[in-house]
Amino acid sequence: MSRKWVLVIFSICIITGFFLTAAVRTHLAAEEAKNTDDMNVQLVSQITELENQNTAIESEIKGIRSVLTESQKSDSQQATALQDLQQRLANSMIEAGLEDLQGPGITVSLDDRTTEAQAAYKLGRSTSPYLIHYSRLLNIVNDMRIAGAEAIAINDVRVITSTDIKCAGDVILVNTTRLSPPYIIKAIGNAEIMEKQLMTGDYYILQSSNFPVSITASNNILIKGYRGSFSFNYAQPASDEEIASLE
Amino acid sequence: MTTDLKNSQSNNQDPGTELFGNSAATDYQTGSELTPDNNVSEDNEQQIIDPEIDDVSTEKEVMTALTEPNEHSLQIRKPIKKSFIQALTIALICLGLMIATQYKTQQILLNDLSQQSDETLISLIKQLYDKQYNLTVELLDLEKQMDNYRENSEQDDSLEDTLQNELSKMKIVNGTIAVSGPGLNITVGSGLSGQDLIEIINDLWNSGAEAVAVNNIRFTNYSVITYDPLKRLISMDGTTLSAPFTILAVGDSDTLSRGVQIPGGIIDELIVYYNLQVKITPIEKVVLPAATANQEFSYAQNAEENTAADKEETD
Repeated sequence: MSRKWVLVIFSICIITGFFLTAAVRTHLAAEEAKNTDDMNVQLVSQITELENQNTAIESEIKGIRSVLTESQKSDSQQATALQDLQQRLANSMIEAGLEDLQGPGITVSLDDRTTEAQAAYKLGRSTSPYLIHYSRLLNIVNDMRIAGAEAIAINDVRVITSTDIKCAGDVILVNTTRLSPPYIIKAIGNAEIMEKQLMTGDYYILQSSNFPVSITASNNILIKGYRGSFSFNYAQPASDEEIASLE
Repeated sequence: MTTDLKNSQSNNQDPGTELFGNSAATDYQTGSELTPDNNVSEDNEQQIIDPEIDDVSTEKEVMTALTEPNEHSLQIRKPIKKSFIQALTIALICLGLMIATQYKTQQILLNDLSQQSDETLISLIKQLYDKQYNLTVELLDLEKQMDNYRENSEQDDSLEDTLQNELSKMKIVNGTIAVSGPGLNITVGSGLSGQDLIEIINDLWNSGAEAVAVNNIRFTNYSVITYDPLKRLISMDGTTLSAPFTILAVGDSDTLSRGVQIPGGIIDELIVYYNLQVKITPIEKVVLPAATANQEFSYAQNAEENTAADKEETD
């Protein structure tokens, strides 16, 4: 019995001893290696340093990437907003009369009674009854509006919100542009309705008074955009309080 | 050491494998292998003694009961086997732990850079430098992209500003927003005709008005003024206007005031020939409402895309 035990303990001790020796040896070898190789130490520290640097660059790259991704998202949002804005601006420019427009409509031609005017001039009488006055144009334009004209131009001068039709002597000015007869008023819209409306107003008066006037319907009328500028030195968008004060 | 002993004593009855494992492992890592080994062997001896005491007691049992040898011999063998297996188990567990620890230590050493040859380290450094180069190239590229983005973004911002300014200008032009500013108030009593109103508005534009409204209806490019001469009723954009007619204009108050009061002008005519009540008041601030509806086109089309119209025009 005891013999067996001795054998067991003995073999355990031997194996234990073997491993202990191996462990000590490994440890001593490691210690030795650490202490002796300066070159090795330098290389290892260089590697550690490089690894740290690379990690830093990697994290920087990661940071920029995420910023870029976010930026691209907001970029496309901004692009959509810009497109929307451009579309709204384009529409409002059409409405304001800045764009060339085309469509069906009428062309109205108005001319002075030149022969009579010249005769009256020679006789020393007033030529006024034989000339087209600015107020005729003003009323004809208003009649066109009543009939739903979508774009109007007088001698290629576009009629816009702030268009004024005035006279200086016998000269008619539209948007302060001097015009001379014949006055060609073009309008895009329903030709029939416009024609009917014109026959109830100043156009009819001119026609009845033997002025050389005519209305020509056309399927394709081109009306050029307003070439002037808009500048606002006094008008500003009203504040909410000001808008509230209107009611 | 003292804690180790205490632990081993308290755990004698149930020889804790964890305890042995822990003490052995920690001690190996700190580098003092010899002391824990002593401990272990002591513990083992203690453990081994215990079964021998059992053996003695069993031998006594053998002496007292000789009548049944076969049964006794079986009884004797059984405890020996038990204790033997117990001891062997403990020994093997210890051995296993030691091997594991040893292996672990060696793995750590293998992974430790300082255990590598200089050649390996140098090639590793080269690899790291290559990696750093690539990373730097990537970083520079990304920074360039970032700069481009910032530039574009600034351009977009300024484009957006420009567009917004233009749009807000167009809104004033089209009367789609309410406006305020200095200006003029022209109030006319009853007797005004549609023709007169058209003329007054025309004079206001001629005098530099920037926005006009009649009885709180904004005058736009598509405003329509109608007049029923029999009923003497003026309508603007579908709304019948009733006296007094209040015409508001935004612009330079003095210029507007002088402009509409030119001798021979419409206001002059209304006062002198028609004896209408007209009151002209320059105002520091007038507020004009926005037009109620946007203009929509059913006949007119944008001519820019279609040059056919230009051709027809020249024909």
